[in-house]
Amino acid sequence: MRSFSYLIFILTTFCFGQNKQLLYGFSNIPQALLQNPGGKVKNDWYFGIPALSHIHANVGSSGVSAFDLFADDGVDFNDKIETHILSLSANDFFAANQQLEIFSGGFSFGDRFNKNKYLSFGLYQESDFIAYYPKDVVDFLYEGNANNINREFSLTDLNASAEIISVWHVGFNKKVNENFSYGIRGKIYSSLVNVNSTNNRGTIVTRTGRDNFLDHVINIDVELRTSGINSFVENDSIQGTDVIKDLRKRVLFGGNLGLGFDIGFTKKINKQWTVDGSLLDVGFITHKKDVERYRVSGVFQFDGIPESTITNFGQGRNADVVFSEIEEELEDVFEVDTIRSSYTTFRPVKLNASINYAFGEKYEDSCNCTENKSDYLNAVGVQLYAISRPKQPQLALTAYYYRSLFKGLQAKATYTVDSFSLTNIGLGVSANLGPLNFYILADNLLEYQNIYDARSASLQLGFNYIFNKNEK
Amino acid sequence: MIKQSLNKNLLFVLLLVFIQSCTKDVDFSQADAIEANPVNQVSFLFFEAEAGDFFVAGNQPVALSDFINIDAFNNTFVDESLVMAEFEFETINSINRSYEIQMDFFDEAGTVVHTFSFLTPPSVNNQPLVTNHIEPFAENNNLNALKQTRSITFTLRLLPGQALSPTAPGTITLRSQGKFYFNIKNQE
Repeated sequence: MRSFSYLIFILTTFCFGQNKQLLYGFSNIPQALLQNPGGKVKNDWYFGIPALSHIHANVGSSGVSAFDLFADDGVDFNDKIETHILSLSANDFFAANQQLEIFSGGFSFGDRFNKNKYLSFGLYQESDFIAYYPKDVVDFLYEGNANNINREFSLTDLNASAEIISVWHVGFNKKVNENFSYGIRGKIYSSLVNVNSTNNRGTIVTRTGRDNFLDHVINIDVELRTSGINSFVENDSIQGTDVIKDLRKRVLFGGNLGLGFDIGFTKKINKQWTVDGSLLDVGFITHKKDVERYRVSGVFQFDGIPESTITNFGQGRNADVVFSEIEEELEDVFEVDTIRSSYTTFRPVKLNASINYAFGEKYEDSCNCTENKSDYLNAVGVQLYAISRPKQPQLALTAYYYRSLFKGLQAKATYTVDSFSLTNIGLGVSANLGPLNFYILADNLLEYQNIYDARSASLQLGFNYIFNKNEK
Repeated sequence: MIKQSLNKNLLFVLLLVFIQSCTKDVDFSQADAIEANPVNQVSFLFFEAEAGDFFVAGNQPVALSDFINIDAFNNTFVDESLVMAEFEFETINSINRSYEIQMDFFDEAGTVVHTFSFLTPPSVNNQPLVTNHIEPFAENNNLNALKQTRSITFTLRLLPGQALSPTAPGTITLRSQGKFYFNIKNQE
């Protein structure tokens, strides 16, 4: 039963989405270019403080919070399971995402007086996890078949994937003219660890029988694919330090490799209106090294043990022989095939788009004139975010207000509607102290009064060294 | 100036939100109390025989037996979690003879740990007669015997009556199923 409690624990710990609604379009922060390679560039050059330039964590659960289950409120735990877990749908999910930038930098180049091109590059590590709530499987295990005669329990509900990768990237951004910029970023993925089970099929059903009370049919085709795990599991003598060493090697192109790209643009409609958009992580990883796949497939039909000795007056086949054959058949179905052939995974593609309206011109105190004809103190806008996920895309819609508070201090507030909640308020600030830039962005602030009750939470922070164009 | 103090207020609010982050009481050890009570139903023995199949016996009683070895109860999961079970039998008899069905449950050593039987009355006018029997296994009532069971012998007795010819009318069918009630919880 221990494993069952672990399962429940995993289900109720937070999960991550990948929406960075606060960072998207926040062009004072250099890392905003990773959300839109065609975004506005506000610095001349920068480098991220190594390992501290972008730390991102996001957890979320679409249907239940830890507080729902574990509140110390005297309610029977099993009643809570029935209320909060068994009521989940097969499209509810738990997700987690984490990123750590190891290094990054960027610089502008081009004509001496019109440096309209910008090159950015870096290496970051990312972990991504998503598991759908396997409703039919849980119901089957929790209730049994007796009260579910004729119900087809679907194995498609088993759907989960987890990966740890490192991403090397180089991006090119070009400001074609005052009104249009575009950008593209090439990526090399190195997968450290991958586990997924996303293409499962089959049903388990008990029907009213013809010759006997019940007819049981198991039709199963499920597979768990792994890469990068077996070498650790198989080798008992492997030490913790060896694991670290090995993983470090995989970060540096030593893992299972893949390719991908990001594209994006920014288009100014007029002085105050701007639209932009980006498509991120269009890419794949081919898993060839250290692959182990486990597959269970087959069909089993059973309506009881036919008795023929008695009906043949002591002749005929003995029921035990028949029963042994049935048992063998069942074992065959559940026999696990281990496969070592390569497989390909696709990265979750993300789409961002926004429409923005800037207002409130910036005045120079000294001359009482506008500092820069294109600079405004405020902006409001609407952002759309979508990410492809194994079962169906997840969407989020954000309205934001951006304000430049002082020189070197900007803030952005967001209101987001997504699968996790309808009341997601986020706030972020970017502050410059000389060339040192610090930013912190967090969402779901309303939930911080009781973090356990949050269905999702995300946090990004980092330090950069920026040389700004605007600095005179 | 107004703008500046506005900004300061905004910062203050921001700070307040971050500082206010806190938690309410939760108790993760509640998970230990989790339990599930699945009920599973599985088909068991079945047959269909015609009156003629038994004509060899004439009007004499006859007993026919068969057995199965069963390993399903021989594991810790069943031992710890099976709290109740029942076997349900249904016979439909349209033969003009009466039958007795007997089940003997044997443990590993071959000792009978449980026995039961039930009668199927004769169908005088060859109309199908339905007979049901439910054999319960509950705590303090044979559940342990069931958990020890490693083989089941099944006997059909044709009780004395009118002699059957090869063309005697009627059939006897048997259908059966087991129903198993589990209580799965943290055993620690």
